[in-house]
Amino acid sequence: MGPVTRTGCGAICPRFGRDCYACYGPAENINAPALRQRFIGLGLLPEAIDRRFVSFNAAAPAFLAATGNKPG
Amino acid sequence: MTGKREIHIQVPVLARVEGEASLSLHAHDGRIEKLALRIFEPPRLFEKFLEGRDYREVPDMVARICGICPVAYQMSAVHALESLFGLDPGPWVRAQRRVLYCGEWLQSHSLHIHLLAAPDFLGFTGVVGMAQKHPDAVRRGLHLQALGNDIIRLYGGRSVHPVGVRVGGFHHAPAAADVAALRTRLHAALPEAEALVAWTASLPLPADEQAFTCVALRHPDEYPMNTGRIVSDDGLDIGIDRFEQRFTERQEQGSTALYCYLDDQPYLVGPLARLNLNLDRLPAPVRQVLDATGIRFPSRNMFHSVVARAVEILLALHEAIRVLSDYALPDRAYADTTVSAGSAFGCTEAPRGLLWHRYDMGADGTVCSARIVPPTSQNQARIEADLHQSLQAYGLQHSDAALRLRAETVIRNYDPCISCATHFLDLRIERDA
Repeated sequence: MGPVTRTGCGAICPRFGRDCYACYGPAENINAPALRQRFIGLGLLPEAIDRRFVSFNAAAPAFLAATGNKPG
Repeated sequence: MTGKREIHIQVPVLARVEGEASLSLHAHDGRIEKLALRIFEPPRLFEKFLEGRDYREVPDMVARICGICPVAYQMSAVHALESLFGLDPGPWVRAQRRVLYCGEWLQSHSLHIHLLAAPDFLGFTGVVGMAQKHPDAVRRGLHLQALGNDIIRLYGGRSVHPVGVRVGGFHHAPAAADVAALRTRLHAALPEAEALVAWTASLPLPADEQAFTCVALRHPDEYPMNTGRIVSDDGLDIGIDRFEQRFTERQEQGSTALYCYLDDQPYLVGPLARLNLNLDRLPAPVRQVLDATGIRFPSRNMFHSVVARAVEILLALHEAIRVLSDYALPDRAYADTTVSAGSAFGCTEAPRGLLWHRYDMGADGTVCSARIVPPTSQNQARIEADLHQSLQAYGLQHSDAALRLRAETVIRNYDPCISCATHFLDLRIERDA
C-alpha cells in the first residue's frame, strides 16, 4: 500500500519483507485505481483488494472511494 | 461519631490508569452500601471488526487493541490460529517469541510501577513530583522501560503496534549484530532490575491481606508466557480450549466492559496471581533476589503486585539473556501455513494477566467470529470485591479525600487497562416486524 500511504514510518514493513498495510492512512492525491490494477495484476481478488483499503482507515474518504463506496 | 456519617465519593475520571473509568461509592452508618467501578469508555467492537478478515490480517488488527500490550494480543492470536491450522513454527520462533514477550513485560511493568503505581505509595500525585524526590528511581524505571521498548522494536520494527509478527513466526529475523548489542544492554540492566525489586519491597505498602482466587497459566518447566494450562490455587487445571466451560462473562449495568467470573466467583489474574502460582518456575537467581526481600510468596496482600511486577522485570531480563545467548539466524523466520476451518483457541500471559482468544475460522481462512477476553475484564469483579474489603478494613472514619485516595490506589494497583476491556457491548436491537 506504500504508493497510496502517508509516509513517516520509515517504511518498516517493506524493510521487514512484508506488505505495507497503510496504517498511516492515505497520502494526498492518491492514484488508487492504478494501485488496484497493479493488485489485480498480482492476482488479488476484488474483495481482498477492498479489504486492503478499508482497515484502520476505513473512514478516510480517499480509501473508502477506492472501494467504490461513499462516506456515510 | 463517624458511624452516622453519610459518605458519597465520586471519582468522575480515574487518573493514572489506561483508559476511562469512574468510581462511585456510597456508605451509610459505617457500611458501604453501594460501590461501582464504572467503565464508561465507549465499546470498541474489535471482535466485530475482525469478522470477514483474512487470518493474515489478524495479528495487525488485534495489536491495535492495546498500545501498551500489543505483543500479547498478537501472541494469543497467532498461537490460536497456528493450533487450529496444525502448524508448529519450531524452536527458533518459539524462543524468539519469548524474548519479544519479555520486552513487553519489561516496558509495561516498568511503566506501571513508576508512572502509575509508585506515586500512590510515596505520596505524590504523579511521576513528575516523584521524580524531584526520587530522580534515580524514576530514571532507572524509564531506562528499563526503554530497554523493553527496544526489544519490541528489534522484532517488530516499532514498539507500539509492531509489525514483525505473523502466523507461523516472524516476517523478519533480527540481525546477529543487533542481538549482540541488545545482549550487552540486557546484562548491564540486571543490577538495575535487582535494585528495583528491593526498592519495590521497601515501599510503604499497605498491609491488607485478603482471600482471593489466583488464576494463571502454568507450563511444565517455564515461567508461563506463551503456553500452558489454565490453573488456579483452588485446584482448577484445564486446557485453554476448555476456558468457556468454567469462565463466564456477564454484562453489568454501568460498564461497557464485561465482568468475567470463574464458576460465578471473582478471581485475580496478573503478576501477583502468576507469581503466586509459579514460584517454583522462577530461575534460581531471580528466586534469590525475591527471597532477599523478606516478603513471603505466595502473598495474599494485593499490594505485593508491585513487587511481583519488579520480579517479573528481573525474570524477563534473565529469560531474554538465556534465550539470546546462542542466537543464530534461522534459514527462514516463519513456517508456511495451510488454512483449515474450525475453532481456534489461544491464551497467553499478557503483562496484566490471562489473555484468551477464540476465533471461528472458515475454510477460506477468514474469521467468522471472534471472542477476546482481556485481563482487565477478568479482574473487574475482583477490583470491586477488593474495594469493598480494603475500604472497610482501612476504616470509613477517614476523610472523604483519604478514602478517595485509598480507593484510587487500590484500583491503580491492578494496572487496569480499560481500553483493552471495552471491546464488548452486547448490543441487541429489537424491532417490531
